Amino acid sequence: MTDNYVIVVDDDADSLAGAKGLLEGQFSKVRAVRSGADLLKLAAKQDPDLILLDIMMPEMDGFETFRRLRELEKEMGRTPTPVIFLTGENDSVSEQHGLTIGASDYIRKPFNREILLRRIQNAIQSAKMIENLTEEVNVDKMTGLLNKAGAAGKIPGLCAEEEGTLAMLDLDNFKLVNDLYGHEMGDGVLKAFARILRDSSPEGDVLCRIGGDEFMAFFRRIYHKKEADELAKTMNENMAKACRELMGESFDIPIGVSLGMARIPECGRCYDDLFRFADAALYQVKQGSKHSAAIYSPEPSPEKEDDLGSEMQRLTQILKERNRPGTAMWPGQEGITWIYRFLCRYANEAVKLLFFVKREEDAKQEDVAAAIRDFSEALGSSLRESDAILQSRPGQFFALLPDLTEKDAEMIVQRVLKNWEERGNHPGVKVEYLCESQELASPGGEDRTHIAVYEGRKIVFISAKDILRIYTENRKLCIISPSGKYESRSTLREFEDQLGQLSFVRISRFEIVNLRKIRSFDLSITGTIRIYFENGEDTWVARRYVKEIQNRLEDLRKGGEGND
Amino acid sequence: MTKFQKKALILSSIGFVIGCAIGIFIFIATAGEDFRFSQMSLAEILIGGIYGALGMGGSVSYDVEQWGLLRATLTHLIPALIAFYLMGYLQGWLMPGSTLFWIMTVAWLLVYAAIWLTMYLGWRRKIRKMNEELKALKK
Repeated sequence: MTDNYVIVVDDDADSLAGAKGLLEGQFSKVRAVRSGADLLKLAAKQDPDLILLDIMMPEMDGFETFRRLRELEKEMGRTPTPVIFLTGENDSVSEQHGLTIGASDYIRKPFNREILLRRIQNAIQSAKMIENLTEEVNVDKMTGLLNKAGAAGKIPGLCAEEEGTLAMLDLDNFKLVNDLYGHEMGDGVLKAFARILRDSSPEGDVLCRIGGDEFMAFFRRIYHKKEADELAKTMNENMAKACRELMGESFDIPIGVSLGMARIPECGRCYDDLFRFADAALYQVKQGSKHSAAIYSPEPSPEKEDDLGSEMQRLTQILKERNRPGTAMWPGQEGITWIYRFLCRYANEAVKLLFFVKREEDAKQEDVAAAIRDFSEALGSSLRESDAILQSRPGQFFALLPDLTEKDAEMIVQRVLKNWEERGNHPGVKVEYLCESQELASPGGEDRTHIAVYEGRKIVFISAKDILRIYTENRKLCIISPSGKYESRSTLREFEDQLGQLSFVRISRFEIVNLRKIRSFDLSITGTIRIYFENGEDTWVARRYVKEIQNRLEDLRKGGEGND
Repeated sequence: MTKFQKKALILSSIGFVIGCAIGIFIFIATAGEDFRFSQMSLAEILIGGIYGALGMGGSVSYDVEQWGLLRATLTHLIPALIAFYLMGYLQGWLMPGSTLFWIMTVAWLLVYAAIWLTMYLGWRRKIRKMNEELKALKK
């Protein structure tokens, strides 16, 4: 016996009794009804797995019943129930029509028991398979909520017919969780939020994750600002609680949720417009205090636009937002890149520190994880608020410390390690580090020059001072700097112009070098002039450029003496 | 045509003219009272021109950026020496394997070795100076 619910519809009492008798014992539940109207009444309350529907019935025939059944299912937002038509007629036109309008099968009476049962089972299995596949396509696997495609299939219809609110929800400062605790923890937070969203919404609301930390919902019972505020408050409280459970009591990332809403039908019924309005309201919340809700209003608030003081305060607040008070910055990969570039142009000196929390052979995984977490906290709290940290890999931390020398950095490293050791015993785990001073800008213009190179689709800025040599190879321009080799489609002449009066000089038709990076010149026995760079590389020099090199060396030396 | 080829062509042309001029000068200087301008005389003048063209045109070997002094000097020596052999043979005063042939070969090699050595020492001095400048710059 299979765990399925089958309804048989036939106006003929004998046929009905016969069919019911056939099916009983094969399926867990079988109901028999005498008319299409009875079926519709039953279908409004129950959700059968399959319907066997006779075509020839008085008042409402099988085709009409089928049409109304589909309408009912659509209204209720229910998946279509598989229907098998039953008929005593040998009419292929009727069969074709039945299959065209969407019946799963078409069976003629009298039917063979085994064939009927097999066909019913096939129809149920196919319907379930389709349902599962549809669910798989439309559901976000991580949170169990609908995904964007699923939402796009459901929400526009609701917006067109129902009253309520379309809401966009976005987690505040979620990126910090990923940066500080890793993506696994980030996934945990997303799951926790999905749970909170589900608990905060009554049945009938449609919830979905549209990507990353952005969610969308159709709330049927939230319409006024007060209700929205209450919902935001509850969600934020629950979110803080869930995050403390996940990341411990010391967790202090200002994570929360911001909601932007558009009322239906006040803001219209077009899904695209409503989406845009809700997004605009969300933007308003994100630009302001966050952790709250806003309902879209077409008129901007005049006092806010005119008040430059409060605008400045707001922007300052946004800039401060990402900082954990009392700790160094964790600006993420992109942020630290900008900081580095800024320092290269305007700071005098800086120190780069690379820490590696290393696991020894006998260390347990949980001890390593605890050691990394402790080190992350120790590093953050031991550095200044002006220092920037990036966790580049699990257990690997890069810190950029402006206005410090290597000597100062040694002291700071010891402070970090001491702080880490004080946080607990870390068996089988050790920390290795590398400290490097970064010579940055000097008062003269020379060191502030950066070369912009197209690398793939990105523009990379390389400090001119760092460049060792620039040469042409296979029609590509190659730039060798300490951080690697960059390739560009620009011309050597372009770079010669960019480098201007710096310590660069042409040494052949194909190459320009930085004289300050040269270790020595040499003449081989075959009479070839070679240049040896500080990094061990070497290249040849065309004799005709030697005079120019001599002049440039002399100029640079005199310039240096002048500066002294 | 590349700049390099153009330069080689111009220098060869000049060399050819100079070679021919020297050939004519030698012909006039060595001619007796009963001199006659024969086909042989014309051939000698033209060979002198070719020798001049090879000598001057070949000097562009020193302009090839990637080549060291040794390669450039050898590249200049080989065609010049071949032209010299050819000229002597055609004029009838330089037979292969003769004593004069070997004396001239050694003389040519010595001259080019001297050219190479002079240039090598000159460049070595320049490199030393450049290294000194570099050292001073780094202090």
